[in-house]
Amino acid sequence: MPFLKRALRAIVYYKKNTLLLFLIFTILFSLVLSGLCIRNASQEATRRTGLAIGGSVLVQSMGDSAQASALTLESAQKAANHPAVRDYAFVGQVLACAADFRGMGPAFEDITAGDYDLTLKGSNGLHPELRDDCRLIEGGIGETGYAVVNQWLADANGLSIGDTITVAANRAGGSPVELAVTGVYYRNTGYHYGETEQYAENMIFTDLGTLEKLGGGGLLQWAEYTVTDPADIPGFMADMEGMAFPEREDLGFIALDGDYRKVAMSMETLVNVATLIFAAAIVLGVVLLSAMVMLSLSSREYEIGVLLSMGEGRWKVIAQLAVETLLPVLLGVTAGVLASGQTAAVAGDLLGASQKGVEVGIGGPAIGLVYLCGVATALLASCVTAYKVLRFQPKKLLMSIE
Amino acid sequence: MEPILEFKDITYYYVSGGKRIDILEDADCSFEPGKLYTIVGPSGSGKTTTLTLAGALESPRGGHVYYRGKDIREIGYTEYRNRNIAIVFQAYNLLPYLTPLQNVLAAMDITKNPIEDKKRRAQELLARMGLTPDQMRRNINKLSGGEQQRVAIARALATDADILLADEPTGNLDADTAQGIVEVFQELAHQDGKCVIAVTHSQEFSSQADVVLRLQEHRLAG
Repeated sequence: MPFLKRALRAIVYYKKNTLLLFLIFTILFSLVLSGLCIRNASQEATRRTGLAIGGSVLVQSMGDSAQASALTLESAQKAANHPAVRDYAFVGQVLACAADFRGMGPAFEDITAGDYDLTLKGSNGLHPELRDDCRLIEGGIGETGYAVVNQWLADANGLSIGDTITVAANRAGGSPVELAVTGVYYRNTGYHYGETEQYAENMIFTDLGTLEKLGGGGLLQWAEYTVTDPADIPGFMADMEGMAFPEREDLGFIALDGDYRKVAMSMETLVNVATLIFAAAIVLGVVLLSAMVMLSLSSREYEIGVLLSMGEGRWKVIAQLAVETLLPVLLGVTAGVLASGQTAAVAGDLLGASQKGVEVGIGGPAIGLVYLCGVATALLASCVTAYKVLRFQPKKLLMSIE
Repeated sequence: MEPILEFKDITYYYVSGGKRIDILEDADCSFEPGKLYTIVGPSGSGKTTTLTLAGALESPRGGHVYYRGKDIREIGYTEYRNRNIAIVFQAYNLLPYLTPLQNVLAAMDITKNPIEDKKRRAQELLARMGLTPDQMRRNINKLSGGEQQRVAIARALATDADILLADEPTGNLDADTAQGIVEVFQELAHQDGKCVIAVTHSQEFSSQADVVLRLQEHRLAG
């Protein structure tokens, strides 16, 4: 292709222009790739940090326990099946009566004659209160039909691991449920006020099935879902409504991801800055290149006129000038890619990437993207060329001399 | 002899500051192969305009330009310029990033000259114009004005066009060099059978032409 040969020779001949283009685009695309690098590394660091910090969603019943609530064991289980959920804890509570033993009161022998003696707290695993506020001194939890009792209650009733106790739904002879004592716990502080069932010693930890048998109706106080990636929390919360809790009036939904959000926000700022650098560099590239192309065209009008007067097609002239622009730009992009390896290393150090196990580098897609940007920049600037050449009148070449 | 190029009722004007400036008005002229024509006239009389009309660099406001009896509008301006005419400019206008040899070869490529050994033909043309092999490969800017003009003529000849248009071809040259160029044009017309049409201010050049056309009262008079 003759225009290609002319283009290559012109690139060598107009070496100052070529070198300038090359340098500008080396610098610009170093910036572009650095921006991309920082952006990608920030996003990866955010993701890793998120996985390490974790997050959860708390769903709790806000209404009176006597009222209907949408937080049933069944609906909570549906939400637990969401792919974002890594683990979950369900917690419920019912009041019951001690059928074959005595609950603690102001004085052991003098039980306050309330409707209920006991507070039974159930969970699908180790109850959070048992885990966080108490100390297991003997045994542990069971699978189903178990009771973990307070040390004072056990001592007062002569209970030990392996014994059974019977609890009833209410004094009027509600369904009794037999529980096996599988553990004893100690609680440092108790509260003693009001009704008997509020005495800390009268708190028994058991399973959710037991609560259901005691007439809990499968209702839960709250459910906490631990997600694998806190970034999935918004999506999970949006899905939950349709999945499990279509009637949400009595429910509160709380995202427990404060720590993750702090990290994500600071990283987001970095990502935005990097994206800005990327966009600014592209725009600057187009503007600079267009300006250089226009200047160059002005000084080569005669040359263009001669080519057109010889009968060369306008589009071939445009193609020649486009190649003269494209080649230095692509060489500049290549140099920018090579130079940005250093920038990537610096960005990685700043982000503490190695400590987080994040590899900061430039992948194939990023390199492909910058080459595409380089080509697009050159083609956009070539539109200036095309506009001028298509409007150029070869007769001006002769007329201007007359 | 049948004319190779004809102007029939050519009218050309332009508008400047709201005023119509007439250049040619119902001008008729014919050009035959094998002759050297010069077009003379005062500055601004329309000499270059005549050349641009002949070279399809401009369209007339009225009338027709015929090449071998065919309206050049029917041939197509680009096609006509590509195949049938060659232009030599006052300012040589060689491509600065090509050597003289490459300039001539470029012209052959653009006009799709069917000759097989293009390089040999280019060298022959340049040699005919008096360039040495060393000069053929030299940077254009290192050649003298006369040498550059000769390269421009060789480039024009490389297209094998029937008509050679020249716009003040000796304008930038000294007398001796200019005379050399005039002799080249005479040779092209008389020996190669080209129709050579040159615009010039030079009396010396005009006096050696076969036909001198004067632009007066918006017409070409021979």
